[in-house]
Amino acid sequence: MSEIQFLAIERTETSLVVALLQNVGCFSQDNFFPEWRAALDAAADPKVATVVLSLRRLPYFGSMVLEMTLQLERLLRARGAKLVLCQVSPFGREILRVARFDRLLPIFKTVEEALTAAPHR
Amino acid sequence: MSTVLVVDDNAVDRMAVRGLLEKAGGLSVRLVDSGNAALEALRQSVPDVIITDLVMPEMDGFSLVKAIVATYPQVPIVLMTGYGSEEIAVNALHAGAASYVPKSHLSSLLAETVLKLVEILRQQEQQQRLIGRLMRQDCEFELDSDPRLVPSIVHYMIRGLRCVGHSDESISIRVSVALEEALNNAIYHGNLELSSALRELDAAEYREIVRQRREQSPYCERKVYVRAEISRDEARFRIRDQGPGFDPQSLPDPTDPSNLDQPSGRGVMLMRTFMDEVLFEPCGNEVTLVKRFAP
Repeated sequence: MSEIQFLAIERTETSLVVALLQNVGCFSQDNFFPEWRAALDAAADPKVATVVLSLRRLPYFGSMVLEMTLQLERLLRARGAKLVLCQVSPFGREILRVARFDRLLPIFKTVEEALTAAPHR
Repeated sequence: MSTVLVVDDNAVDRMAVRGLLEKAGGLSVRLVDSGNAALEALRQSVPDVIITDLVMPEMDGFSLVKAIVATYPQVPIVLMTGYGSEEIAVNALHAGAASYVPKSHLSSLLAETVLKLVEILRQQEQQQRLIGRLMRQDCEFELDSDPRLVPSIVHYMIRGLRCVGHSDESISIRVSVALEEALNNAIYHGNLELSSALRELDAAEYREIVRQRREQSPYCERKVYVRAEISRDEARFRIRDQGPGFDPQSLPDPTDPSNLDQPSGRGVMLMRTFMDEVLFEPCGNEVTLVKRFAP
């Protein structure tokens, strides 16, 4: 049986697009952690000015995704880079609003919009 | 009387099929000569069973099956296969056709195949009627602290909600989020006694401790008990772990801007947001989530 893939990562010169492919219930899920570690390592590259987190595949998510988002945001903020969200389902937006994350992070409709609005170095 | 739509470009074969089905009894048969005519007939009325030839001009049987499955997935399709149509038949079966009968065996197998499908449909319909009368569903689980079970048990509970008539998607999602949070809390914070702060500090170490504790006493002996009482008025989920318990009052309010960076409290906040009532027992290792439904 093939392993479940949780993340798809796409890199351009100054940005990184991380797409969550399925809901994540916990950090101990079998192969999620190595994928998440790889995403954090890629986001830590000083050349990356913006990380776009796409939630298109998630009709809903819980506190684990919120925690991951916060972890990524903190990592980027510490070195002056930026995290933006995109392709969030209506229910996902409600969760972000309830958690006040909509005040913390810009949310765009598409990856293209997010990349266009993102700061470049 | 069950209805059957027969699709075949050959007039003689169409008439032969009609004869076989009518002879079997209890079947009302409608004939069309092409895939496009079949789709038009479906727009007018949906039959119980469709029988189609595979090799036809304009639209072959495979394309027709794909078109029917996309719009009428509940209608079983029987393929009539002849010499040279095997590949189309395999593709059509992959696309969702229910069965096939070789044209050389129509007289012995076709009516029997259709009647079997009609009987299955009738049983499914009765089952649906019965499920539609379900008033209440209670269940209880004893689970190991295995996070892989969480999505399955959430799915089971959502199915329970649907069985008693609560099929609204937004309710399903809200209950799913709250249940997932409560179950993960019971496993990680309750039975395995792990804090969110540790996870934030070092996710690799956290993962390793999860692995160790799932094999270590006393953690590995602890269970999560889930009790669900689902009725038309409300759904009540009681989740109890065997950890030392915690004081829910001690959690920071994660919506307070000064607490936005705090690692804990968001799971309980989501439970409280999406359920009508969230009650913690004083011992701190049992939570009851309640969702009420308007009459």
